[in-house]
Amino acid sequence: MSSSVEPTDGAPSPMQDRMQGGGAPDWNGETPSWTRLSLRLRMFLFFALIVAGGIAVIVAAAVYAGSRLDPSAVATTKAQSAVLLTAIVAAFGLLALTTWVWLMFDENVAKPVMALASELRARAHSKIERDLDAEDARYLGDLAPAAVAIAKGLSDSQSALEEAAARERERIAQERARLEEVVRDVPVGCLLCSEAHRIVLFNQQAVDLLDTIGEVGLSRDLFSLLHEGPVLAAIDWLKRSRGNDPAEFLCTTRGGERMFQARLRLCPGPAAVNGGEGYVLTLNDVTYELADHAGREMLLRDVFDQIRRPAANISSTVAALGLPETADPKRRQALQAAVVGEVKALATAITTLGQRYETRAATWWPMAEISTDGILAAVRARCVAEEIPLIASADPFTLRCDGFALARLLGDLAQRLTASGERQKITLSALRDTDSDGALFVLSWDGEGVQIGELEAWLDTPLSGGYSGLTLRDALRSHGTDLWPEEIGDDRPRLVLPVRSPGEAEAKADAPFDRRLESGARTHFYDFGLFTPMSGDTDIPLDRLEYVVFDSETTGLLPYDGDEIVQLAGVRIVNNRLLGDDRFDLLVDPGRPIPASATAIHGICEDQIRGAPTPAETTERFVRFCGDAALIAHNARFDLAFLNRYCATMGQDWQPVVLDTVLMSAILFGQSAEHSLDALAERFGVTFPEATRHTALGDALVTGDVALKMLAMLRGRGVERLSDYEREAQRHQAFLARGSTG
Amino acid sequence: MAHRQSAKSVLLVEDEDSIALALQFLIEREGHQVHRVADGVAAQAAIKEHRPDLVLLDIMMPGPSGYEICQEIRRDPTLQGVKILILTASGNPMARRKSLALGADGFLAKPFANEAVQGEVRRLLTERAA
Repeated sequence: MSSSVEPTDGAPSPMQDRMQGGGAPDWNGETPSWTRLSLRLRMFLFFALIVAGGIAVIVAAAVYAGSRLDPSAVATTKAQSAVLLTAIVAAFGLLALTTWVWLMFDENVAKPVMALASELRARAHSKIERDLDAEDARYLGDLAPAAVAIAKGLSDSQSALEEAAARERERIAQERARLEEVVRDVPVGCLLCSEAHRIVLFNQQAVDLLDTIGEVGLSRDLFSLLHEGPVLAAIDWLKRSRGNDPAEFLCTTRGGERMFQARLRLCPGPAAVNGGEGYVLTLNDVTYELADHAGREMLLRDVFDQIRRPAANISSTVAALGLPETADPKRRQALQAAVVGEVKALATAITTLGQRYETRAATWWPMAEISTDGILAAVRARCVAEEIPLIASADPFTLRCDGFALARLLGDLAQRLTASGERQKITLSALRDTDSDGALFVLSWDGEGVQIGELEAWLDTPLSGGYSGLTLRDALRSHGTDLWPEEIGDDRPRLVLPVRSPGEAEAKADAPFDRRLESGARTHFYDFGLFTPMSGDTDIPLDRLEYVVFDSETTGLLPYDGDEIVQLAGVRIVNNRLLGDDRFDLLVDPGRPIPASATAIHGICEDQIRGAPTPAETTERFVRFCGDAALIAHNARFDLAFLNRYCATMGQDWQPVVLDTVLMSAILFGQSAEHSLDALAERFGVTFPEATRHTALGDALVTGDVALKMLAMLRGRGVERLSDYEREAQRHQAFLARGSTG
Repeated sequence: MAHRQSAKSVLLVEDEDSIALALQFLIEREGHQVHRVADGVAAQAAIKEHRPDLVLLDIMMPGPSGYEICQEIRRDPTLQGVKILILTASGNPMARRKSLALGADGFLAKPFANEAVQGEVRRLLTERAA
């Protein structure tokens, strides 16, 4: 691990840094290569060489001059002194002049050149808004204006590039948002899975279809939701056939609760060489269709069975009554009794079969949950467009019906009511119908009433709006209902249309203790980074692991001495993203009183946990939520103590990989640093509403945020794989064993 | 309080001969006078002519439907005392509610037991004696 104090490659050495700052040159004792020396140093050496050379010439000249003097002459000594003096003066003069020239050159050429070079180098690597200041380089001739021009050109290019990149990013973001909306609203369940059968993309329909079976989310195992046999067979067939057509087949959920008409197409991952081959799977729920079809077939079979036999018996018996032998009163009486018996059986069968048929008659018509508000809005819009004066009002509630057919029917009736001009102020209202447990649509008006004969004739006309010749009566029959006029006392005449709500959609269990995100689509529903298969399960890179960051709130700090959890929450990290809406959050009934001191911290009191799941039940659900993800917790030892105890009581062997943010902090910042969750949040600038602190979910989210940042820092420190982390964990074992911080 | 059932006039509006025959027989056994017609037009005329105490009304038949006949009876102030019993083979679960909303006094879905018909006839034609 390198110290941040020591220079790294590319950064200026202290010697170079001092040179660039104007200090005296220095050597580190080695003979430098000429090209690695800075410009200023080279210029200094150049001028030093000039001085040295000049001085050498002066000395040589003085020596030569002295050698030419007559050593025997009396004036020679004086002349030698004069020559020496002259040489010394010349040498100093040369030194002074050269030094002055060097200083001028250094100040006005070398330094500006190096400063200019630094500026240009800095602008090449990062965008600098301020203009290049070439004042100091005014003695460099054309070099300064050229550098200014280059810098401006570079800045303009960078700006243009950034703008273009921003526009492109915006365009891509818009397209992605549109694609996300489309994928969300595809009317069938849509899943994109990796080669390892992990979910890479899912839409809301898939969640609606499968959420009651198991966890639908990124990186979940598809085969925890669906039976693998048909899917694997389809993949195998596609690979062998190598065709472009998709495979269509039927598949069921893991436990056989639902059946889907499935369509599977192989698709390469984003990087086909490394990404592996995934597949797209679309699911259309045919559970009810198949059940309905089977029911109809059964009804038809029963019709033939239950009617054929009595009809045959009656036929035979009545024929026998006509024979002369049946003149005997006793025999006749017996045959008549037989006829009566068979007729009763036939009547009973017809009644029963008729009820079954009426119940089933509505199921083939496409029904959906629709608000009465929506139906009336459609009628209102049509009446405005066709200038039919109508006022509509509704008790807003949800009804299972063909809203479009009903809206057309009511609009057609409003149109017919006003056609004669004898009826005004038409009002349409939708109320709850206590008799049919559905809705009561009522059209009322001022003016003459409607004859039932006239109404029956209307009902035999085709339903407008492209219903392929189906009549208003068909629309009524499909809903198992009828329509009639009423005139009661002085009340306004009205048409009454009750609509039952057949085949109520199964309601999801309303678990007030389950605080998972239930409303709204998931914001993280795809991650193409999950396409890349793992190279193997040994020595997994930390950034490839899937994590569940969790936290618990408890009755106290003694997991082995009577304390229990009162809340457990977890959020998922997939492909280095914290998926805030893929969460687990449960209140827990600890089965013992919650001390006031504990409530003061986490705010959970006994009223809130009444009827909540037990710790063991909660743990079981949490283990299912985690799957094979690794765990992260702040002071994981404490929370795991509770979970391990609960697993032990259930006989469940659960051995997940566990990372601890306290340990990560110790590795990164030293054991003596502050490691509390609050300290980590402050250190990394992670903010959170104060009210969420000391809630399991709030703390889990904060822990997840700081964990992601610390994992990135650990990678920079060479702790890249699980084995690296485990090695660091061993080194800090004693630190962890000393206790909790939080 | 004693219930006394004197002979009443019953109009049977039924287009199917077999069931009409059986119903006529059953009602006449109760001591009532039965007049049968087979379609809605004849029913309208018979009601005006005979002013029956009780009308047994099929719904689906030629001409005006039983619903129309029912509505006409209820709109005629001179026929307010007439009881109406709807008999229908329609399996529509709303048929009963519609019939009663249009003013019928009783409703029987076919096939029905003879006892059920006799019971409804008795109920609708019962007179309270002081």
